[in-house]
Amino acid sequence: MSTTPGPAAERAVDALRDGYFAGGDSLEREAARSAVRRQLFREAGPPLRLGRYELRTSLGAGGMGTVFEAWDPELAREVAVKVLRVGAPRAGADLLSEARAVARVLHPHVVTVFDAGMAEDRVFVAMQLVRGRSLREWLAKPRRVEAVCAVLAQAASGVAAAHEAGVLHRDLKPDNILIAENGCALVADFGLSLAVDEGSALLDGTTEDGAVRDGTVRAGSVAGTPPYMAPEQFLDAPQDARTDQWSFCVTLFEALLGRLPFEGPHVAALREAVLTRRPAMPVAAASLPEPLQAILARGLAKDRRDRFPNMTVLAETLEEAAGAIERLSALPGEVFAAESALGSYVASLPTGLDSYPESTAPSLFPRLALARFPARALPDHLAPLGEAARRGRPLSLVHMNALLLALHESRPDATRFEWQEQAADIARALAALSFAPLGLAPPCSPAFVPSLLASHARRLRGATFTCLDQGVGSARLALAHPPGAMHPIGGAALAEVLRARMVAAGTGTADVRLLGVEPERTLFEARWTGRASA
Amino acid sequence: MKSEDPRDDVALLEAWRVGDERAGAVLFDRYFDAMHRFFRNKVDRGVEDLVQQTFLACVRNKESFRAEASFRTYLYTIARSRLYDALRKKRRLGGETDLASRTLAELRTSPSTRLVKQEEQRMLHDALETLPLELHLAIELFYFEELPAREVALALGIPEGTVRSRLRRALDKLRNQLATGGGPAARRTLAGLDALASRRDSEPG
Repeated sequence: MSTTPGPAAERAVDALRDGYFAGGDSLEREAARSAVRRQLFREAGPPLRLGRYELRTSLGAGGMGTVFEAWDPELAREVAVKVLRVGAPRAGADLLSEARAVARVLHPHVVTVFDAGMAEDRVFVAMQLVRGRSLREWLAKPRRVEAVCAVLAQAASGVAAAHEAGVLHRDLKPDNILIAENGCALVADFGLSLAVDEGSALLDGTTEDGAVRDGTVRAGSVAGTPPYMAPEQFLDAPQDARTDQWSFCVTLFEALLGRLPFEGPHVAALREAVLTRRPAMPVAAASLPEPLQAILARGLAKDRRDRFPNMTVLAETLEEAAGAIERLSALPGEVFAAESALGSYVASLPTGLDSYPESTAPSLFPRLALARFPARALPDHLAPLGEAARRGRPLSLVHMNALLLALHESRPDATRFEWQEQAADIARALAALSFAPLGLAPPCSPAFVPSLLASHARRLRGATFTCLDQGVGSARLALAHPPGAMHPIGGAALAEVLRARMVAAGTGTADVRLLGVEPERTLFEARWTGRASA
Repeated sequence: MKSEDPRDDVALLEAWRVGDERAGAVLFDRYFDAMHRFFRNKVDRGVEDLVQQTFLACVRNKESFRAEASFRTYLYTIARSRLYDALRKKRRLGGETDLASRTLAELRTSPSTRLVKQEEQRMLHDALETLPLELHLAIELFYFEELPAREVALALGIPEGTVRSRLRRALDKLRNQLATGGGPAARRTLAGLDALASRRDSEPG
């Protein structure tokens, strides 16, 4: 370490230091300086201007440049101004003509371009200011499949409108689709990938470390973001609107399944995967509704001619699929079938904890629940279980319980359907049981156990048990409650709880069956061996 | 924007604290760049807010100014605690979560999108993100901002001896990180880093 550094090392030091001190965009720094100054001191300097626009705070920097929240004093309105880094002068001219073409696209799902030009040697594009977040940020939380389809169908219709106006996007990805505060999707940055600095990175394997990054890069005449690039982009072959279709479907894939269809440790490997392999389908894909699987398969066809004829058809197909899923999940019959299947299953559980072997419980219910959520709704440690459930592998109660509870807790706002709530109730009830005889630890943190049957408890407030008749080792119990307060699944769960209480109270074995749910009372039959204390 | 005000930082701070906004503005202009640098690589958004909070905290005397530290070090102390708060808030981590041992790479919620022209600088940046924050900050403050080891210790709230051992540990990790990258750019980055380290370590201090 004490060797005298040579001139090459000195240059490397200078490069590092220059990068450190001058890194970032000076315009971004000056806008920040002026914004903070205005906040801190009454005597603020003049606003930072670019052309006629007053730049306020920076909304973010990306591979192509920096976006500012800005004020247009002439039209007295707030706008977003994207200041681009332009490599070659020719790129600047291309970009301006592209921006003018995009300005002709007026569509509710396309960010409107107001103005584009050069100022102080920089190319800028002034556009509609969208308050919200990117699709990528929006997807950081688990979303329902229907919701994902709905926003992406909107985005697809925006892209279709641009295509009809003769504008290609060329760099579709979750970062370029914005979700406004009102939930509406808007596609941004049409054609702006042209602005990518030609010297910044090369794609054809000449990037020194070959790393696959999320930034937009340029290879020869082609620019894009590697994981979203179509085969024809990697091959530098002719591209058209169907190229956007591919990138859109990579985005759709990622949004639905939480991972990319093609991955590789470096660009060469990624290129190989895109050109020769089928999309890497995660296990969750099996539970994806069939129409969506079909859209992904068609949009990700290697040969452009096998894709949708145009983006409009894709948008319509996606919209139809989204509608069908919505209708399906709202279908009372389906929901009821799911509920009664579980209800009768729980009601038919065998006696005694020791009679629950590891894998006898059917996994119908978690599968139904899992089908409605993207894979990432599950915490990592439960992902293998989710996989097993999706494959239809029978699960133990402990495991089923863990899955249902995790799903419920990942989406507390998702209790659209009674059955989800019921599932959570059951999960809680089961969690309260002792699994020690099975040699199993409780599946989830005990923190939720005190909230056992909380929602049922609310509904069943004031409910009272009466003993209808009692024999030796058996009893029939009736729980009187407000009309309709008991659900068959809740009843089955309650039977489980009763049984656990009896075991805990010292009976040898106990079995509580749900006999029936009547509007104002629920009937149970309890059998036990040993000391009776129910 | 370079200030010609002859008063030293502490005099300016005291004037600002009793309402002299002009003194505050001079101080602000002296340190804005450093504070902006400090935050811009570490959070995806809200850099302006954090810079503003840092200056506000120093004028409101929320965190006491220790006489043995320089004003610059004092600012870094505040900046570090604001940064930790922001990262905790973003990831909804509890107040007691120890951020010092976490890395920016794991704390980020979205991939870093920084404008970096130089391949070497990008590699260093990426490698730094894989270091625990305490090592990351030590490297930045000592080798790039060139704070003396004593001041780095004050800014990070650790004993001075720990700073030295931490820097050694951080450099070793960075070397490993860059060595696995391979390629000429990684080698140049590594050479630059070593030269920087030996240049800085040979200074008294």
